[in-house]
Amino acid sequence: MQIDFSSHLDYLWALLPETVLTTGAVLLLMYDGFRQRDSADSRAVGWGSLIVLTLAAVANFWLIGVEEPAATGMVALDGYRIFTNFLFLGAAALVVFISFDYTTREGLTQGEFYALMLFAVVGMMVLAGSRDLVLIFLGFELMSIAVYVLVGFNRRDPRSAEAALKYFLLGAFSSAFLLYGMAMLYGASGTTNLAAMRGVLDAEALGLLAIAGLALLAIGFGFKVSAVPFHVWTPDAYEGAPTPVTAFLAAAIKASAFAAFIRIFVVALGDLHEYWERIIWVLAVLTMIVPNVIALVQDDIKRLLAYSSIAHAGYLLVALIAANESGMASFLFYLVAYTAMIVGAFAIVLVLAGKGDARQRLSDYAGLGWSHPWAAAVLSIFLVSLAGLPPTAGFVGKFYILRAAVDAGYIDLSVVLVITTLISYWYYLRVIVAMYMKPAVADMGRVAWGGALRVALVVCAAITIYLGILPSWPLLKARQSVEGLTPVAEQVADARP
Amino acid sequence: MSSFYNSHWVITFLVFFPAIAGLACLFLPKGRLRGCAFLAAMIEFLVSLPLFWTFDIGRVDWQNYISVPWISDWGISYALGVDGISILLILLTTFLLPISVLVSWDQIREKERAYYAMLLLLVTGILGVFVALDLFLFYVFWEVTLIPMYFLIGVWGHERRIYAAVKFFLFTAFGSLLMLVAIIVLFRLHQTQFGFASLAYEDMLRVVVPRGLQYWMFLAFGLAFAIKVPMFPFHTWLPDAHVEAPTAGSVILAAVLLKMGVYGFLRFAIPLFPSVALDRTVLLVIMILALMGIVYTAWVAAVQPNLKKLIAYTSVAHLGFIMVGTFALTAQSLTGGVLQMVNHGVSTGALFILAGFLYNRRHSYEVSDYGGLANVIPVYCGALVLVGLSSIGLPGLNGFVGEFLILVGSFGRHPWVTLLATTGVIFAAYYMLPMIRRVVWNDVTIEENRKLLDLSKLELAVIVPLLIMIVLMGVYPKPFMDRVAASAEALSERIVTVVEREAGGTDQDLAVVGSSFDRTGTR
Repeated sequence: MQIDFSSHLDYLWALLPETVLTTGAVLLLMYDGFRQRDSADSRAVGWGSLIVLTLAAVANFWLIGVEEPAATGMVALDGYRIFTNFLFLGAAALVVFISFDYTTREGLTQGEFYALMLFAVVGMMVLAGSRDLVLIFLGFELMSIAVYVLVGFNRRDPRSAEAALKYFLLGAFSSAFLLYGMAMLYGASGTTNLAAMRGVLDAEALGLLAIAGLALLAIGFGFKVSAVPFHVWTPDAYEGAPTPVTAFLAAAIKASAFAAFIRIFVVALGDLHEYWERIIWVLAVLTMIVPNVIALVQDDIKRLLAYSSIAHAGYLLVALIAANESGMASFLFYLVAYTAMIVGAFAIVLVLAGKGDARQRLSDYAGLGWSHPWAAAVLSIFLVSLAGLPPTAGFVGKFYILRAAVDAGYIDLSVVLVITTLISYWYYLRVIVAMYMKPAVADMGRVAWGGALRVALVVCAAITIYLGILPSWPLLKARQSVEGLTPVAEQVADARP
Repeated sequence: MSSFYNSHWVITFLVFFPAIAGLACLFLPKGRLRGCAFLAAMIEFLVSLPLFWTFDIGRVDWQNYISVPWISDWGISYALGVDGISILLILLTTFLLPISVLVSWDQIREKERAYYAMLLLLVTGILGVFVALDLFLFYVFWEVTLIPMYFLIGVWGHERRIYAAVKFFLFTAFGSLLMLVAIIVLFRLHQTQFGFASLAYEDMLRVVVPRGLQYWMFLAFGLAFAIKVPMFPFHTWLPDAHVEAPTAGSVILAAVLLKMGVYGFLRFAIPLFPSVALDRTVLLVIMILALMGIVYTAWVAAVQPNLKKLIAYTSVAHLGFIMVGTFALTAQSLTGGVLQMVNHGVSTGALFILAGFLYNRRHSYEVSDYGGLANVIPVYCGALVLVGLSSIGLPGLNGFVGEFLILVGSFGRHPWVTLLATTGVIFAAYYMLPMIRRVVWNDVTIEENRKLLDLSKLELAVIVPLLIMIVLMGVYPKPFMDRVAASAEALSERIVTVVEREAGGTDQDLAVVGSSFDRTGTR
């Protein structure tokens, strides 16, 4: 089927997954409004949201066969969008799976929890799948507003409220930067369409307006993907948010912001690589070094994982700056791997924390390896993968990013990446040391593992190991998904002296 | 049956069987665990044993070779093969595996399932390193060895085990991460020069690396291997790791894990960057470090009050010898180096086991806690004296053959280095003999020692095979040497011809390659 956007109905077809999700989320909201809002209803809404996510995935699957006449439409119909859509849907499904137990335990039985998550996914999909600055901004806001609420969802907990406020203030602040940057780019190029913008902006004669726009855009995105020095909100927001939401923040939301980041910088502004390269270079180096060093002294496991997730943003920035085909493909591959391992890690943290999130300190994990061998073993798999050791997904992902960086000539960045990886070993090992080599301080007792959560853990662990041992097919898919974007990247490569 | 030993299946089996057996160990009932672990180790050893005879002496190409695509998108293959350099190391590993399991029967009392799982998993990693012929695969196995060893030290070790485990992990990981960058740079160079992606060993040998870059690449590879060997001054993790590790951990660590470093030099660092390996300055630095290792650590070993620490330092000294032989790069010295790796594995392994036996009895590694044991436990002392003499390099025992070959082979190229290295043999006597004197001879000064029991049947079963090997390889080393010689000679010739060709050619074509390697953007 071909879509040429000649009629308005074509937009509906092109946005079918988003449409399905929105309809489903509204229906779920309405259903919940007429019910008791107790834990059984919350569960029902949760399962309903899983059905909606599945339907959206089917719609997304259908999009694979759809062609567009030229890569200029407001809504992209390329492999990149389809890949990221699957990623967001999968991440959201995993987060729903791990939320069941948590919402019941903490008494967060309002069904809006799942509806908001679906709305956030709609925002992400719009964000990563559009070729227009206005639409990208729209996606950002759609996603962010839903997530502000989610972060503060546990309103009886002051930490949650604090996190929501911080996230909201800095999020709004960064949106302003973003919008201002977009306005300047529009002023410089006369268009908001990314494909058209590439033709207009000339690297040889770039005005001050465009450069300022570029810088503001980089700052805005720096906030959104929590790159150092714009990361200060991240640890607090991650620590205070309900743990499933933290997993959602760390995986899907960061991924979507990065997806848009890449689409704008590599696809639309690819010819200006020389201008933004230096900004991003500094951001990448800082984002790799600072959080890895700070994480060394964290005693709260959620905070430790928060800093680790910031550090991973640094590795992804290296893929971004490489700006070649393997850079973008490695980015996609890494996102899949990263989503599986970070959601899995947070899922275990969530369960072990117990009621009221009482046990989140590293010392609570002492002796876990022998009292709860399965939990410790699975968490170790995720930690080893986050650390980037073979044979796990994290290693293959890092190898790919390193390859992209070396291909583009950034040997300096790749050396920084491996050195910071070495630093990161220390704090991942600290968790493993606590679990296996320290005697237990207090008995953790029986831990309730819900069925849905087990499924999510098995899926995450399976992905983490599968991508580490047999990455051939996923790598091929990741590479094929960015093929539509390559001409720009090749231009960047040709721009070398 | 013969097709099994002529194909890669025997190697594939040897590499992955321990991992599968190790995972199975996690689910076995406690009562059967030790028996099953030993059974798995014995199967591994017995399956590997015929390799010694099926190995084609004199062939210099790969035997039991396989190469199938693994990650086809990156041109990465599952490539394994054996040659004269790796065959003895493989057999050494499988030979020591049942011994390490047996030695743990008495020692490891808690968390046994995980212990045997880690031990077996470790062997998978080590064997993988010795047979991998794709740099990606090699790196994966190289890193896979880290985690089981880390657990072995950190969970079942002695008092300062966590410190030692983390130090071990971070030291070795530091080197290997830089090697990873170098591997990727090679990957990139191959792609630009030949137009397709590959990390296969044979393809990497063809890559032309610009001269300036070669030094950096050699440094990255060499650092990873030098830390593993360990060469002076990167050796500080070793005594800590050894002292804290349980006996079987020490045995595997000293006997095989360290050999991965030397093997890395032989297989990768030297053949990939031959002109750097023979560069005068680089050679000078390496030889000085190796000599420092031999002489300095011998002196340090002489004053160690702790038995295990003493043995650990002797390891560094012995590996210094092996490094001299490796970098002398003559056929003889290479053969001697490989042979000495095996010898060192057997005799140092035996030393650690004997130290462990003492620890089981008295819970102390301090030399001063013993004395006059010859009167109390004569069989034990006999074994200790024999192993100690083999470690010194007494003619007729295994240590002598390797050291002699190294010295003879190196003398032609580096007479001064060889002369200085020879003093190491004297120092070896200087640290080993007083230790033996203080433990074995003199009078019994501590009352507790009067009641020590001599070796049990289990302990005899552990130590006797090692003693047999020590004597066998000392008296009749020819079959072992034969298996190494052809490959060592081929390697030595290859390096010399490559270096001569490079010296003859102009640097122009290299410069062209180098310029394609500038960074993106408008510098």
